[in-house]
Amino acid sequence: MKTTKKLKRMVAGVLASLMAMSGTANVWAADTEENVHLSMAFWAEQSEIDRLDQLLEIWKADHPNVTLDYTYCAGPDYPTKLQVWFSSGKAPDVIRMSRDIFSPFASEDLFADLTPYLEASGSAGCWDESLLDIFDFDGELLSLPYMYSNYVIAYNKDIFDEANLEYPTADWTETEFVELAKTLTSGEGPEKTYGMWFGGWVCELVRALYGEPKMYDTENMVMQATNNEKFKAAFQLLGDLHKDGYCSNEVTKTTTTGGFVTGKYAMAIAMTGDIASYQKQIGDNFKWDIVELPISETYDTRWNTNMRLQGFGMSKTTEHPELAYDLIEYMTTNYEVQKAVDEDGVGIPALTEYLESEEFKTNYGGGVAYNKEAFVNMAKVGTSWEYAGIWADINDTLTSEFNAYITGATDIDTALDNLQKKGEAVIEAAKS
Amino acid sequence: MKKNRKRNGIYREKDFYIFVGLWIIGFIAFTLIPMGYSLYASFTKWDGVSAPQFNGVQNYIRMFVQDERFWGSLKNTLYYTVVSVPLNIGIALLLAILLNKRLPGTNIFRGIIYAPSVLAGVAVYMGWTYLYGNDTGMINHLLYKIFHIIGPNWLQDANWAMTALIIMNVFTCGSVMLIILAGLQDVPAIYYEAAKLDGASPFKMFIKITMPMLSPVLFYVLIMQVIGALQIFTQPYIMTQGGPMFSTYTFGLHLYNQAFRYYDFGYSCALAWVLFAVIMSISIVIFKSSKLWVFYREDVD
Repeated sequence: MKTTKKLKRMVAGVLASLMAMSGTANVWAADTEENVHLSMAFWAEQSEIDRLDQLLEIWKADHPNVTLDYTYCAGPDYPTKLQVWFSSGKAPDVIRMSRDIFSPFASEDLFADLTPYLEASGSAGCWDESLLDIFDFDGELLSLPYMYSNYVIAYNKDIFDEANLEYPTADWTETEFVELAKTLTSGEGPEKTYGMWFGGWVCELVRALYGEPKMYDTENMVMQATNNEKFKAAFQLLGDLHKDGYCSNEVTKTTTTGGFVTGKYAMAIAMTGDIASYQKQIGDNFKWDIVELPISETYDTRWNTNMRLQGFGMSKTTEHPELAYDLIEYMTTNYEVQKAVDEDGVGIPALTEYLESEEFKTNYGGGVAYNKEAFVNMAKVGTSWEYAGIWADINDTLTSEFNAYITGATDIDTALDNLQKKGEAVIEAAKS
Repeated sequence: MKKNRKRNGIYREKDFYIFVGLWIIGFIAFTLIPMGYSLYASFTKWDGVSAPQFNGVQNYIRMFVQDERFWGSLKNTLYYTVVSVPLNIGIALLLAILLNKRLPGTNIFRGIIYAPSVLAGVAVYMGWTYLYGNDTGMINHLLYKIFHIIGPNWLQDANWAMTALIIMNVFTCGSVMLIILAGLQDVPAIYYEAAKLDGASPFKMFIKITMPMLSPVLFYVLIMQVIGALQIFTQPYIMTQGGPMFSTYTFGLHLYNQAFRYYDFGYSCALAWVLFAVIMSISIVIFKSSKLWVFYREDVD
């Protein structure tokens, strides 16, 4: 009897010691000879995969005791993969995330708070503070910024030259933008040249064109489509440009015209990732450049852009948090990694040191020079939008109501009222 | 005698179970168990990440009482089925009859008509998206150049989007045409010769001989086409995302969105079971009706 008790105490003691040590054991895992297995997940195109492959080899060379497995897929499949990993309890240690698909996962407490690691590493000053804020969920930092993409306006210099108009500059106003869109629209049918192309992005821009209050408040889960002067003004402005024929209607997000590269549009919304295709497809067909979104005189603000901020986070179930953080920090603070992001042309690197370098300013992906700084300037009016969960459901209603408005099937008040009611119903169902 | 019975009986049974065993294991693991789980999940609130929470028949109540898009998507799917299936079969039948004539070049036409059916779906739909383009699409370009008509904004106009999908579907009737053509070639020539001797007109021969002899093939084609049409997903997903104004929002798209975009797996499973019930019911009705219009040669023999 005594022996059993003694044995139990011993086992309990060993277990307690192991548990106490487990927290610290990981801290040194990278420096010890102990073999450690780490997993990482990301989405990427093939060119980016090749580049990441090389960069991760460098990290692996610095961590000879670590076996790093990484899994990747195409962007559209990634949210489904995340669901499968988390629901099966087999989430990778390090996970690439995008802010716009983060909400449903953030609310499930699946990611580790990186704040203590960041404080310990002293790397907090590596990025613009606003970028860190975007990954802040209820006071917890769930990812470190890796890169971002946002919106600017691309313009066809040849069309401007033909019309004898000056190119837009960073301080242009909304009134000037509307005037240009109208002036530069001409012709009819397939021979028509449009002043502006928004494509499907219009229903994203409209949600928070003039900043707060947005169409919905995700933090407090409230719809703000009605009694919201800014949202109504944005809805009307962008809606009327379509309704009156100054923009082609591609609101459903299915690009049927080929967009800006066809040369049929004087101006067009462009995302960071579009630039690579501009460089490739436009070639010598016409001259182009980009400019920041215009400034609204009424609301004294530049049009807000979606900040599709991407980063790397850590699964809460990881057995090697220190090592996982080491990898996250490598991906987000290493100059060469950030340079590779820039060279791939998939986004704007998040690291301030690289953004301030001459290399960033002069790297045009092997194509023509353009006003690259516009993307960095737009980050100042960047706002995070939602693409997943109940917010995707409400976004679909917005697209439908916006379409109804521009085709004259409904008036603006009815459209906003419908949006408000349907949005409230979705939120209510999610809360219950 | 005993040995012989064993060879013919037990051993044959053993062989049978060995051969079908693998399939049965696969069926149980990858179809039956997931179906069972999906049935259970349809009675839960489940976001696909955390554990499902039982909520009784709430998903079904929501579907029938609160969800406007459920009824809208069901209506769109039935409309697509009712219009596209007869159109597809009708055109395929017409083409098969034409190609059944022993004329020069029929083999080439057969290949041309069948070609769209063997091309990869997504690539074809992307191609059609550009053909339908409002400002740069070839269809509107030709309409404008030849007739000076400004064509509709096919995929962005709620009045035209579903029609555009149906028209596109007609171009994939090659496989149906091929099945019907095989059926036509199986009709014994002796029947036509006898009818000719009796002075029957070509139309009468078509109604009295061709159609009855072809009815089992048409029955098969109808069942397969109806099931395929009720499950339509890829075309609207690629070409319209269900828009504009939910005019091409089909049941399959609603089901997909609920699961993979809105993260409402429980509700999506409930939708899947209702779709299953709809397909099953319509199939049963077609099967029952087949007694009235499907003619099997063995019935006479």
